[in-house]
Amino acid sequence: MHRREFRNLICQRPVLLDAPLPSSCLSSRWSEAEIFHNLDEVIASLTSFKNICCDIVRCPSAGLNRFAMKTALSGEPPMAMNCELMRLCCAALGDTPVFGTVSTTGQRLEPYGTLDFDDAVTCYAEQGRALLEGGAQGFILCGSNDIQEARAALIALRELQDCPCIVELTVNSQGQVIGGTEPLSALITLQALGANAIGFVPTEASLSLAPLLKQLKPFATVALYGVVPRCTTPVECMLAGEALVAAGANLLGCSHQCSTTDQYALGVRLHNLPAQPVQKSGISALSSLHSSVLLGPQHPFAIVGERINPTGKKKLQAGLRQGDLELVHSFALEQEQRGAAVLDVNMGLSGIDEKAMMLKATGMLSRLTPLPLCIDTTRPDVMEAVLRRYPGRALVNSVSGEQARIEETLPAAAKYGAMFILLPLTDAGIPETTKERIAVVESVLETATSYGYGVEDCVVDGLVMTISANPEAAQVTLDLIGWCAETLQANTIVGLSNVSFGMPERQWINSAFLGMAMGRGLTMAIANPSANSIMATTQSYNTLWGHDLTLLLNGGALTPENV
Amino acid sequence: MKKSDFKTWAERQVLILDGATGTELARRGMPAGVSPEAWVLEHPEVIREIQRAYMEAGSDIVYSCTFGGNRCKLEEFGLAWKTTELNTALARISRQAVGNQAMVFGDLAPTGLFVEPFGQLPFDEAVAVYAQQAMALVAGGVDGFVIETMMDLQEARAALLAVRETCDLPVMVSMTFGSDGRTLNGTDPLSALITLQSLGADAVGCNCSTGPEDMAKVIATMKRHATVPLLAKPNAGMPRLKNGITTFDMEADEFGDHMEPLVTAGAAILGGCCGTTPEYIQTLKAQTNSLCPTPPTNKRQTVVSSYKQSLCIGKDQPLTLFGGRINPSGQLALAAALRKNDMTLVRRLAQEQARQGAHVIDINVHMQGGDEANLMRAAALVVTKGAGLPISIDTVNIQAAEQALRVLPGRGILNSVSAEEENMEAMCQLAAKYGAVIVCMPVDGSGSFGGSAEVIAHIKKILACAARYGIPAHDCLIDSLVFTTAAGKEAHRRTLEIIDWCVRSAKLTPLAGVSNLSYGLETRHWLDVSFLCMAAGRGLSAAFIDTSSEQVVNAVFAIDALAGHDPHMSRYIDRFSQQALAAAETTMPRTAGEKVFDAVVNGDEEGMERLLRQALKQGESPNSLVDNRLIPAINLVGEKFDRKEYFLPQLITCADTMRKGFALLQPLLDAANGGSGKKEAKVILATVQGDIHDIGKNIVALMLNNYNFEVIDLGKDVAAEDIIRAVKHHGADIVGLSALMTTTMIEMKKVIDLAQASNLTDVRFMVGGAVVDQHYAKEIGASGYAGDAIGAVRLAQQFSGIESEQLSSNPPTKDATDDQATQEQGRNQ
Repeated sequence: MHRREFRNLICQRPVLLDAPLPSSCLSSRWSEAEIFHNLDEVIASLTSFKNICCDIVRCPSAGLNRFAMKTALSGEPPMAMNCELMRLCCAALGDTPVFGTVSTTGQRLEPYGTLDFDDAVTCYAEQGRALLEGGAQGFILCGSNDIQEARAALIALRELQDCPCIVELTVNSQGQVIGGTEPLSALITLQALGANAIGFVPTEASLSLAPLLKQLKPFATVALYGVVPRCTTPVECMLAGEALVAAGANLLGCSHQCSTTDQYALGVRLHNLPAQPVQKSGISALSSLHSSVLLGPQHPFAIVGERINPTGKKKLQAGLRQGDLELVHSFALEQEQRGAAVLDVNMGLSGIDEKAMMLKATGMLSRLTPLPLCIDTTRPDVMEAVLRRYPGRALVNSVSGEQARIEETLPAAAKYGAMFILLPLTDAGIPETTKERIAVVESVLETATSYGYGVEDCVVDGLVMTISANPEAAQVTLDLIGWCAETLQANTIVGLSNVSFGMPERQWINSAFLGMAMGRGLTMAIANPSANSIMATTQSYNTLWGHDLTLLLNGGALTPENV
Repeated sequence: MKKSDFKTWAERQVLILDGATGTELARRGMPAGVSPEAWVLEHPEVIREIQRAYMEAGSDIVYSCTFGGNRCKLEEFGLAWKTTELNTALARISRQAVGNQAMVFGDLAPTGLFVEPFGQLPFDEAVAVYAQQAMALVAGGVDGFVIETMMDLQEARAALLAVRETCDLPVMVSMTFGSDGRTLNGTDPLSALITLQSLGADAVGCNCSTGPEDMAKVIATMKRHATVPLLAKPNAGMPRLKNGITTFDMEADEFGDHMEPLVTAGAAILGGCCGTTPEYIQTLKAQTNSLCPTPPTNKRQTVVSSYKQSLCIGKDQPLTLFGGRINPSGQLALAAALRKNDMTLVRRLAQEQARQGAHVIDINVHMQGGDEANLMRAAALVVTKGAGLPISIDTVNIQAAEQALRVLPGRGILNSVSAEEENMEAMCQLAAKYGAVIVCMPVDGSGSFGGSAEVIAHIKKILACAARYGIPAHDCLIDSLVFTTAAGKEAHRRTLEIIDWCVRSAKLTPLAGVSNLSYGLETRHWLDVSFLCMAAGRGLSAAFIDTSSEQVVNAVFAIDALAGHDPHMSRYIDRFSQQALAAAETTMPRTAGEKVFDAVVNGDEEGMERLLRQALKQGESPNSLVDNRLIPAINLVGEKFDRKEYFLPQLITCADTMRKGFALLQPLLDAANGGSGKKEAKVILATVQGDIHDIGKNIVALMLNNYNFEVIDLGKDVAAEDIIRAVKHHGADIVGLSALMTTTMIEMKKVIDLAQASNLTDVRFMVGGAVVDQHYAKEIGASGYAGDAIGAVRLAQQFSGIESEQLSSNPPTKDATDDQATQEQGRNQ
């Protein structure tokens, strides 16, 4: 099945997935090994009447990866088993599409554990290949509780074939993904990485997912999937299904504790429910492992903390040369505490292995801070390596109209679904007029579109130059920002250190420029969040636009920590 | 003549005025010291001959011989009762002289008094004086008016209003500027132009002043913003005394050669002043015959003014800052002071805001049960004197608005005109009459404000109403409705949308009351700063801000630098170098004694007494207050005057303040010093015989008094014998002689000769006046020459052996052209 067909399917009506095996027809949970000892029963269960109304049936291959099987089963070549099992399922189910299931390796991945990220990818790739060989129409990553593992699987499967991938995350009774990720950041990370549906399985079978789905729906550009809570009657199950569809679900599944009758009834009901829309245009959002940042005029102003950058910082340079990340660590915490929304990470320093240092730093920062990262490098290979492993949706700094960036950085960013900063400059340099800059923005966006990017995925850099060298410099940037905000409706960002270069009391120029740009629709800035004037301006923006009322509640006083 | 006919006439061709009348009359036998008006009435054939000669030389317009025909001037000859009769008769004579071949414009000229707020003559009395003369001239059949040789912008305004309220005839206003490019009161050409053309003058320009070269600069300055034709009537160069006879250094041919540059600079109406004759007019005519005047500006620029500075508001200009702190709402101290008609706080707030960087001072004196009209008028005058910035009259009360706009010596801003039918019509009518710029407040009084579409509809409605009264859109500032932060994002968004609409679609000038945003919040300035910047990013042109907040003002400097309105970033850089200095200066609190010093420097007349009493209470001795506070303060004022930081109005206000302090201390000084307070020396002052110009001399008297000299002022037109008699009688040490005219300056020599003959060799003579200079002083044997009042004080100190720090560094002599009294020279005809 192609991803497009999957999309067509869910656009017709809500789609039903069968409950995972072992289901309520069996008394206890089987291990992977037992599946092969009870193949007949498994096939019988998959073809039973409960699945008559199912649109997609799972092949119970979840545990059959090389890490999970090491202990569970020995002797049999696991990949052949995947292929064989899939073949049997397909044969038994005829026209109903069968999706291969993959699940946890049972090990913790880097940077949280010891399993190398690429080993995990290889493991999922080999299982996926086998399942495809057996006739899998798509994949379900089931029962994930580790975003990094889900990412590894998703990357592996997406590298195989263009078939649909559904990611199933386990949420606890607080609505958190086990492992501490907020469902919204999981959604942002995984949909950017190319998942076709994202769904949730509650650890507590009686929990209704409707409120969670409703909350996520505005941010979802892929199908949402929900498992109905455990029910006692078919009618109850139908109602629960209806509630999930009303909350925005495009796919439903039953808990394995549901009865076959319940699932059948739900399947029948779904035939008569209208399809839920899937939002086409994406959202501007970044995520880290734990948390997410929404960008745009409807959201708080986002400061990208600029300090993790060795340029001009002797101490940091010395530390990095010795592989010491202590200062990176403290810069990160300090910037977080001062109110940065995103952290820029730049390891551009002669004489060090930038790729290794960047991976080390981003790995460390992923564990340390909930703030999403902005990957600031000119080297496409470094960019790709970091994006592959970063357990969130990062911001790429940057893609420009320079040929090399277009050809190398842009595809890498696109593959991992990162947002990118669009620098309106070309190999010929920085255009002087707003008009010329607009032309560069349009041309880069056109190329980006061919990689599947939308305008919401880019952040246009206003590229402000020094006013003491050119008094028109600020105006050109403000006009570009205005055009981006109004005509293009894209996010914009400026760096605040250039504009005031060579002037006394630079903070006034910087904060006034920030304010003026905000007035034209600026949504982000790369700045040092230790600068009081910058953070006070940001806080004022958030107060004025209703994102933060503490200023009003304090009678206008800025809190000492924030200024 | 209709105003519109005059306009077309002056746009089509260069209009030729007449030349000097006074010198021509003298040449034909008019003796010195008489009223020319009365003399001409007795010798009508003389003026007929002169005016016919001008007409034949090419004059399109001749001035009636009524330069000194106002009630105040005639009173000097005891002829005030004859004012109406004289003017009507003189107008008729001119009419008879030129028939229908030239126009006769009724001549209105200075009263010789200063009009409030710069002097004692109440504004409406000045209007009445001129209205009387204007009415008489209309009865005599004049075709239009010229208000000329004006040194006081306020007096010119009074005359202009008087003419406009009397008839519909065209009226030209012509000011007299010194070589420093300002009038005696400190008014610069552009401020004069803006003020007068907006008040309805049909032509504006300058006469007398200097020779034609300098006048071309004045005209060029005015031309940039002139919507009316410009007038230039220069002297025949500079006056020189040759063998006791005044001559001007420019021959007719040379004079004629300067006319083309004047037309190129933008003049459309030309004539001659002192020293010119029909011959000059003939060459003028010949030189300009083929020239066409440059049409008036079509720039749609908002310009407002005070008496001493003008201010452009709009998109190509730095952000205009309105200081809105003169507003009793929420300010109990100000409200209490206003209820007692005490303007001390108003003055202080105005000065503070000016110092902090405000460009316009907004005045709101609305209080429950207050007499808003009178308070507004008084506050407008105090702010004018205290800060000298353009003023925004913030009221919805029609009477208050009219009272203030009427007396405001500048082009004010009427804040505001709402879309409420009744207010809108009345306010527009008022703004049109006084030429004020208006602030459109797009609310309809319903209490709800609606979205930006509704607001824009209100703006259009107000603009349409303004247009009906002849107020163009570029003279309207658009209030973009800023409310408190708590009003929420919809309100803030609306403000930005209105600004956007103004800038991009409607080409209007948006204004934002940014300080409203944080009203009621304590530490609030970041909100103001941020919103101001956001609005500025959209193209805001003017904002109400709290100028006391350094953050906000710093941000404004940054905005201007970023918006490209601060070439070379020089203002931004200056700001921060000055800020460091100011921070160093203001770290110490001021003691009461220091505040006495400040009060003199700031001209805080109202606060002086209170501050002195405080200082005395704190134990400072009266002698110390005089020696260490008052005198150093007035010295600083003098320095500021020299540096052109202060102008005559400030000098007088500060001197008055000092005198108030002195009067209070005098009895204490007497007691402390055992009997008579010590006086520096006795000075006798007089304007010499045949000369009735005493403005300069009075200022000198005032200043000497303030420096603790004992001044005996003999007045004007004083015979040499009387002066010598007084010197003997009083045992004076110093005699100061003043003469304005070249015909009377020779009297000075008579006085000095007589003193020598009377063996008064110990007495030192100092001389001054427009045409007098160092060279002449030496020639006649005077001990010294003073260029202005401060110079006179220094000279007197020198004579009486007082060491002043300024003496060594700053010689008390100046070039005669620097003389502040030059402007008073007038038409010495």
